[in-house]
Amino acid sequence: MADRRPAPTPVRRGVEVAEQTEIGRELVRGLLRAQLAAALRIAGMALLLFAPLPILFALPAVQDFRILGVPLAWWVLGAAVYPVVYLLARLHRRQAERIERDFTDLLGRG
Amino acid sequence: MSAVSAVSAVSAVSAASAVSAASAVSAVSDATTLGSSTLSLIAIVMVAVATGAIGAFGVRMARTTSDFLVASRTVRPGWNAAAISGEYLSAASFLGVAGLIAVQGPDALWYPVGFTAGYLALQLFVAAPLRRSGAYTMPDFAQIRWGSRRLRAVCTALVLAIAWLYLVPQLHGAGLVLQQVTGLPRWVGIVAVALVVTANVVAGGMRSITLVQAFQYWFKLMALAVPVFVVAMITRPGVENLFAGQWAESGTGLGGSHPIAEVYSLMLATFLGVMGLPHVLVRFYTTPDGGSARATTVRVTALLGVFYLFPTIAGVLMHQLMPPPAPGESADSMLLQWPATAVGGTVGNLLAALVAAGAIAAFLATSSGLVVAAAGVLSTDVLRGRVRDFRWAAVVAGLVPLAMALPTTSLDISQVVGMAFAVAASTFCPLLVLGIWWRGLTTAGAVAGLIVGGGLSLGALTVSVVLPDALPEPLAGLLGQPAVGSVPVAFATMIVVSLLTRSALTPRADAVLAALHVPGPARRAAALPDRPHADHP
Repeated sequence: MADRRPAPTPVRRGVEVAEQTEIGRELVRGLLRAQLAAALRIAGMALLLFAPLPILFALPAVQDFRILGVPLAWWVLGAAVYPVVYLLARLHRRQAERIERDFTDLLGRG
Repeated sequence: MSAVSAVSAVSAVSAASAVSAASAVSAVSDATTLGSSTLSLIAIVMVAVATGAIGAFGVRMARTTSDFLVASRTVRPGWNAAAISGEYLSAASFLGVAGLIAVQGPDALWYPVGFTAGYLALQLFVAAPLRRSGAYTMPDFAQIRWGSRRLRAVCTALVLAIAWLYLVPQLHGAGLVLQQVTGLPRWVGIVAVALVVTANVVAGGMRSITLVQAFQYWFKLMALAVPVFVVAMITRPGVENLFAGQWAESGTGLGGSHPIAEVYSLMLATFLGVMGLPHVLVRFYTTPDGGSARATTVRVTALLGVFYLFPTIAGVLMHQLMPPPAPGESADSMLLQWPATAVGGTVGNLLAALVAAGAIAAFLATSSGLVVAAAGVLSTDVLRGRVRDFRWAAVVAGLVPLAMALPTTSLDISQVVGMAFAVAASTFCPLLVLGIWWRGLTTAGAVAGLIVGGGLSLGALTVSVVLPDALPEPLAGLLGQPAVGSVPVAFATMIVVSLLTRSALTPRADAVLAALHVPGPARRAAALPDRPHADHP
């Protein structure tokens, strides 16, 4: 809205990062924290999805549950986990690239 | 005999093909197993020849040391993902997984799940920053991040330990396959695969390895998918009969007495171990930039997911159609005998030949990657890093595991491969994850963690191999699957020692972390160098 004049700050930010000033270090730490948070979010999702499975599949009620004659554990571990891993990997790639684009924009728009 | 004459045309594999040709002749003279053996041998020799031919084709492009080590960083994600998968799908995946599923049931499904999910962890925490570090090898990364020769030397020793630990079962597996097919002594197959791999790496280095391994992914997929489809079509097993009895139930474990604990330890070792495997790491240096390293891992998870459907189905069919292996005998050879047992006749022999060729492709691909990785650190850290040095290093890197494999008795392939994963998860996983994301990891912390993690995992595995029966059960189980203990201890050691020595931290850590995490376009805007400065000769 008020951004009529070209802001001088982005060009300086690049220099701050290159020369390792306090501001530059803080910018890089922000990038690092954002990427780590994204990675930990996906890792947490994977943990929530996978970690309960060995206990879950050992429950008698779950062991008797079959779909088309095939026990649930075989469906999940033999087939369903692979697309889930792939989708988590894709989701992380998208998030990580968006964080990198935002950072690049912040640094060198001018 | 046309296959044999074609062999002699390929100079790169001439030494090894002489061995293969000799075994072909002796198999032909063995009248009792003529049909199946001859077909399998022809298929195996053709795989070796194709590997050599693609390798020889790549030689023309390999000129500089950089070409040899990392294909000059020009390999695109599609090719690189197929090459990573082709290299990664070893004997453990091809023969071991199907056999374990046939014997142990659904708990063994965690092996392929972990082998795949490990790439997710690799992508989340390691792939892009590691690529941006611009390191050729794991010791290079240590040097760039910490600038310490001591840490570099520890990394070199661990790369060699993991690579050779992983190579020995590959060679044992090759010996097993050729023994099954020809009846020749096991050392013939061990020597043949070691020589083919070493000759190929010496001739072409990484450039040709990329082509060879991309080819081998698709070949291995076909060599397993075709037999699965054909056997399922011919035998038409009813689904209800396939999943009968206690075998089909979860929670029966992986052979020990604490089923659920074993599964969790295996999950920890495989999920976290992939990122520490030297032959996997070295492949990420060949992608153009950090973003394409990430794109590569996404594709790898897809390719591995497609592949592992087939050992799973094969394992289920094998359980129904074949008797379980005798006690004390490994399940690794079940897949080789399966087509002939299930359908028999010419079709069965053809399918058996295809499976044998796929297994040999698996040994060749993984062994090549491991020899390249070991030769890479040997040539840059022990020798002076010239092309001629790389060739000598490749000879050493290929012949040391040969010397280790020949006298040792054969263990279960997946068991030894699992050990390599546990060592990688206990050493390079904490080094990479903490080194990439925490500026506070000091040189002393890294060295201490590597020595403690490596010492615990290697020590536990050595004890469990040397004294398998001398230990009481909970202890023996932990020593055989040490990841559940050694991985947290390695992380804790690195963190605690780093906090105690935090006065040694320098501004260098901030500069290196900036270089690891700032993406390419922003780096140009900030006028950072394309790679962090590697201050070694």
